[in-house]
Amino acid sequence: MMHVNSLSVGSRLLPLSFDAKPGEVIHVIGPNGSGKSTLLSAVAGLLDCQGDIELDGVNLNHVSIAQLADYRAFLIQSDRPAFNLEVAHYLALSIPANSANSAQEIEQVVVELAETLAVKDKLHRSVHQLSGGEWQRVRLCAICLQVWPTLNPYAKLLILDEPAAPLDIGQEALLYQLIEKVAAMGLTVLMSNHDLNRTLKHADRAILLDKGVMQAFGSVEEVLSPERLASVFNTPVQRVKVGNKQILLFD
Amino acid sequence: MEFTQLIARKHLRWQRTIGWMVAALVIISGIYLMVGELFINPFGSLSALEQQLITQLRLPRLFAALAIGASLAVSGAVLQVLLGNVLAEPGVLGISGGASVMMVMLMFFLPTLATPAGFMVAAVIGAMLFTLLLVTLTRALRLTTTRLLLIGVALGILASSVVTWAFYFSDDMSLRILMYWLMGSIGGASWYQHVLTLFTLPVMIWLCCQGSLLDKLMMGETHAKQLGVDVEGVRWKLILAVSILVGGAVALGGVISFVGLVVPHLLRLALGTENRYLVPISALAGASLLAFSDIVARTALDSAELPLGVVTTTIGAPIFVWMLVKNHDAR
Repeated sequence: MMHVNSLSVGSRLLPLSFDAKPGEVIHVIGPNGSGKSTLLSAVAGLLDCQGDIELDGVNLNHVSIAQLADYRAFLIQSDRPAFNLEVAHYLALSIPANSANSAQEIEQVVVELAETLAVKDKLHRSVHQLSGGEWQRVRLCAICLQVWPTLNPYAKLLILDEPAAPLDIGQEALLYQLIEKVAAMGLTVLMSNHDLNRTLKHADRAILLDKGVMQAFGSVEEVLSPERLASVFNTPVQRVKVGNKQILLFD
Repeated sequence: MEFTQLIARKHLRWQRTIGWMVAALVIISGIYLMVGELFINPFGSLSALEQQLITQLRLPRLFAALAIGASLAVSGAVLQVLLGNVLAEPGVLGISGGASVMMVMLMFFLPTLATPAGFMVAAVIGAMLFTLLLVTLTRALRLTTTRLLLIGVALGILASSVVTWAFYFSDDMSLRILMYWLMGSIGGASWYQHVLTLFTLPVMIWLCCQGSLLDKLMMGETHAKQLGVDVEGVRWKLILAVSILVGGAVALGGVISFVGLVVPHLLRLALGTENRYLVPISALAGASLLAFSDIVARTALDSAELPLGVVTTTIGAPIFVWMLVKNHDAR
């Protein structure tokens, strides 16, 4: 269980609390500049913040940076390193240092992840040769390696900041498959997202932020009500049913 | 086993290169001891003069060249990671200049402290001030490669102008020392000065062991922090280490540019970016390059000796221009 208690970051993020169960996927949504990235960075322990974050009884405020890396992985928004390293090398750097796994086990996980994200043929390429979508999938692959339960038994939480931003719709589908897989292994997934229809379909619960204030937290059905979204995003929103799927329509 | 194989093949390539580099270093060092005004045949028996020549002149000078070359190449490789910039180099960025300015100040204002150890401390402080300035500017203003280089070059010019100013206030003796620093030369290397090497050697070895840390830092600061690297603490340690290396190199041989740029950069292009191997190989290659340059400096002219800094600049500057034109920097 993760408990976040009156977490706040100066005036950028006003105190908010929520909790998350293992295996749960929680989306953080809200307009640009509403504090989504701030919230994720604070939960990841990369930002000075007030309030408590507790993960399975461990208070993360009192945990060293090195230990934090065992408990959670945090994918920041895209940045490319200045150096031209090989994809395989980049992935190798994310394998937990204290993992006692054999090369074979590591190989298995890498291949499984690379196949899920369709980047297996990119392992020998250098990162500067990759397109935006390919690079993002390589980064996803690396971040999952860090918290993959068979390599890192302490892992509890995966935090993703707009993981779908540089991906096309096909790659996005791969991403959500991967997230489902990670959640099914008992990790909590906390991610920010712009595509509200994806949230409606894939999230268990959602946090709606606006100007650093948590407007709503709860089941997706509840949080993504057309009236609430319309007032937060300042645009007319409709929720319609197509077949047996709920879909949000915007102006 | 594609992933494991890829990694293993890479390691094998690096290890093979280490073997080649060690061989090159040994051969160049051998030649270094042989050639000169008086050619010494290693297979004949040595006369008393030849023995003197080797132990009192060529050997300390060779060690100075090796120490400076290795220090500069390692500090260049580390500085590039620290600034997130593949074109960073202590000489080009004016850090060596900062070290020489502090040494000039020491010579003029506190002449009683002008011993090798005193010069070393002054050089380290100067190098550290300039490194700190550059790191702070890079972080605060989010400098691009171009602007960082421009600021660094400006700092270097500022430093050399201070040294030039000092020319007009100096007597014969200090004038010679100043010229020596400005041009970069190890003509006067003696065993006594190798007190400095004793300080730089442990730092160099420590940096060679920081490969995995540098690797993580190389991927960007936030990502490194999320991977469990205490970025702030590490940055301070690296700044201190680079300053000691650059300070030591400048105190030994003056401002010698481009070694720290050319060596790690060409190795990265040829082999990749694993710092675990790149830093030690840079040390070996830098030492070889400087020993080679010093052979050229000693033997190129019949009656006189070129400053070592001139030789490295002649080799390095065209490669630097080529790198800029080819746009090997990422951003």
